Amino acid sequence: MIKRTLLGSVIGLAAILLAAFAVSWQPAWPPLAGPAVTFDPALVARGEQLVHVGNCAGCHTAQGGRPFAGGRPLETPFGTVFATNITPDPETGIGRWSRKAFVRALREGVALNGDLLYPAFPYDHFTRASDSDIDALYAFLMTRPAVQARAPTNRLKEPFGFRPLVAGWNLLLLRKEPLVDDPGQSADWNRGRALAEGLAHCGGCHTPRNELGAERSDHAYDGAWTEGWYAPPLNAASPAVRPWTAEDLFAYLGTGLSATHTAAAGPMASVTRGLAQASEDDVRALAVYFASLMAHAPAAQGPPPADRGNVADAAHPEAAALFAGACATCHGPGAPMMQEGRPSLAWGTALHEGTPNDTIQVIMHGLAPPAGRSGPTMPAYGDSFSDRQLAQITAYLRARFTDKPPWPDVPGAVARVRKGGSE
Amino acid sequence: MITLTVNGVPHQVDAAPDTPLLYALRNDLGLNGAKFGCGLGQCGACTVLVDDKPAFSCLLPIAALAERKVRTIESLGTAKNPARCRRRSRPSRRPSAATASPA
Repeated sequence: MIKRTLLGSVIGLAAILLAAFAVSWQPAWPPLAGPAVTFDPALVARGEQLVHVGNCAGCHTAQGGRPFAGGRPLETPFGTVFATNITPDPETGIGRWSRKAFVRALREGVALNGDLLYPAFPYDHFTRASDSDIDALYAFLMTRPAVQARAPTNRLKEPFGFRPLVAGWNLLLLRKEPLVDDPGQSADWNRGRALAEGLAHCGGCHTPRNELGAERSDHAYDGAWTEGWYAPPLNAASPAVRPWTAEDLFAYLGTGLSATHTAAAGPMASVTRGLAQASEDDVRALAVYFASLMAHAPAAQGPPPADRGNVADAAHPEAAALFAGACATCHGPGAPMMQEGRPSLAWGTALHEGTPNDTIQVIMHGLAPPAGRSGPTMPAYGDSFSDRQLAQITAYLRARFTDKPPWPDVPGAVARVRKGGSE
Repeated sequence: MITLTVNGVPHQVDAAPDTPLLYALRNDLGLNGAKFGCGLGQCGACTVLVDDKPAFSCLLPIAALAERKVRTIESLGTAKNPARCRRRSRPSRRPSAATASPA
């Protein structure tokens, strides 16, 4: 169905694309002759903070790979795009890119050789990044150890392997106008918005995309599917059952754990690990901005739902035994972890979402901080429990810790997550 | 009663369904190879194989194990000819007797 819509759109756009060919050609720019100039250490340090705000390593570092050396696959509806090497290697990285060429890539999506980059790279956000932030990023990346590593060739469905098509996309969908500060808002709010819409590209996961893969600005932060996870809404549609204050968000974004909500999981865990190394001022600005977007979320207006253990135990006796033996050691009301002030399962957003996907993801895969780092930890139950048991526990959690109706077709959702897919 | 198939042998265990597998192994079946360490599924001392995949037995209720095959470290090799990982955990290889827990 999606395929048909896509095909229709592509044919319908043929005329526009023809015109776009005229603008699809971008010149190759001269490479730097020698090593890049030296950089002010303060600018490099600032760049390091910003690279964590942008979570550049999240895509540009492969699993077990060298930092920023690329090669990580990103699955899109159009095929698989591999992140490129952004270390200063002259042959396979950006070692010969001038600052101007770097700016062109970030703001216009054009590589040094004139190739159009795919919008899997969020240049549609980086149009909003400030000159000084981009300068700092360039200084940081150009002073990293050069790694020789060529990204694998993208595996795109026809006709998307034809890069000049991106010119049509850019013509139709790329917003280039700069963000203008809102004088009615605080400096923190404006900085937070600039980062969120720009370098941090939060909408990349939290805003749904149209048939052409562009974020729908009329549905900004409405929640969207990404890499097998549902990234929840970050606006008045937030399903969070406790208010996200700026203080709560500041703690969550900077540590991956909110004592009043939940632990970050999935792709968001990588984001919070990055923000842990960003500047506190930038993290606070993001917190202020998103707290304002979620300020009127109705779900968080009343008291959070109570633990309805008796009701759930009676309705799901088998799952109740599984919960008591597997989960209650940490998540039960009297558990040591709860005594330490960790959040109740009732306060986490995942159980209150319209889909059981994220709950199943966490149970199946657990939470693991990276080697050598501390952070929320949970064993993975994907091998310990059968699909039937996973579905039973998921339904039980929904009944016990929320006041929402049961999710439809939990077994189907378990099967999808087991296969690595999402809705 | 719950049937547990451990090291190829079915056992009837008279314990509550939420009893962790580790307790059933040690208290009911006398298989003390798996140890209680943290009790939080983090240290791995309680690891067993469930359907050939490692699992923390301290956080695995026996109710979850009907029709599944559990293997413990006792099944790896024999007392005379133990598997390599059992040779490694023999008391003689431990740093001192004081740190070794009773088998």
